[in-house]
Amino acid sequence: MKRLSIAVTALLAYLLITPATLLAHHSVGGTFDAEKPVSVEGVVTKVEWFNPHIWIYVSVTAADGSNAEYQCEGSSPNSLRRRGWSKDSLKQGDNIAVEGILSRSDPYSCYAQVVRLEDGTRLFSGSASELR
Amino acid sequence: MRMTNQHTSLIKAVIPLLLVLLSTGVTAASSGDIPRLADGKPDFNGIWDRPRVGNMTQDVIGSCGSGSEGCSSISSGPMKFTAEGLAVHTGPKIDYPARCLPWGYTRAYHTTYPIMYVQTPDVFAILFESNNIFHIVPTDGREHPEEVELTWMGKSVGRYEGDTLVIDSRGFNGLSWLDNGGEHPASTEMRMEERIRHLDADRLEYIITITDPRYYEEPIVNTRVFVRMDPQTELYEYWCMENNKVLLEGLLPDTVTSEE
Repeated sequence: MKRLSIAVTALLAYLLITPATLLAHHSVGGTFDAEKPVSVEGVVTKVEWFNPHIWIYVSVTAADGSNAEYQCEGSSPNSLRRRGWSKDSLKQGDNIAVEGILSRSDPYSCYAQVVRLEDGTRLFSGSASELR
Repeated sequence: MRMTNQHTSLIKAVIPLLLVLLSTGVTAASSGDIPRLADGKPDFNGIWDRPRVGNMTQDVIGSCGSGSEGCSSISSGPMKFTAEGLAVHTGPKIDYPARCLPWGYTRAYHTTYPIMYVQTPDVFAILFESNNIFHIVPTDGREHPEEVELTWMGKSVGRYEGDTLVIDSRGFNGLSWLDNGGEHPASTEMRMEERIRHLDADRLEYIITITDPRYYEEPIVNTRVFVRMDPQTELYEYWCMENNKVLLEGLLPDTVTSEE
């Protein structure tokens, strides 16, 4: 299995906090902590494509073999659909890297600010017709 | 003659917008360039993309909430709180939409999601995709009743001043915030005037002036540009409680606080 890791970079979070705040139906700062940036790399186990936000479930295996299950909130399906994304853009079994910020109360919940496939393709950002 | 605070705020908001419009070649439409209803009133029917306004004190240039280009929102600047307003703003508050309570009128207008205007000679209806809510504005000449029940969306009446639709609203319940990222509170004394007119067939100018003397010493003005969305666009279904995991799984804090 692909080596999976969890890394924390404060700079990344500061660069990425604004887009997340702009899309949430709630006060992101109240639920998620900008001081707790997180990078989650793992295998998608489920995608919930429902309002008011999509949720991505990621199974993460650390270098020591221990396992952790993360769940990360994303944008709204309506906004994503208008940009050409769909519930099939990300599938169970995909290897992904999520960069975001952690929940204030749950160390395994995060707000996803960047989602990338294994090949570097960036999902759910901009238009689906212009994969980055 | 001494200028009032409202005039000063309006000028602060309008001057930057003029600069933006001039730089992009946008000028006010002549009376013959805009769609009209059979009775000659300007026709605002359609689905409109708007700037996503997280904080009413900040400008938004160029980006629309649902992917169109050309939206903007020019702010009159920082809020000048009263002592009571500042205490409410910096004190503990409940992030009520996260619990699927209504946005309130101003905050509903600030979301990412498009709105649809449905207009007849006597009614102007606003359909919000977000939370699938609506707001009805009578334009038949009626005035506000003496007693207005306080609600999330308030009570509105509209009138036409030439090609501009002017909407006056009051009767807000004091539970909503003006914006999402700014978390600025609104009291039951808030009143709001919106002025909507065509810049051309596919762009609207939208000026919102909020007066709330209980919480703010000066009016708050945003001058915005909305962009017509493709005729094939539709408003989507939106249910806040469908998968509101942050609420259902206890991830929400009891209250949030804001900095000055």
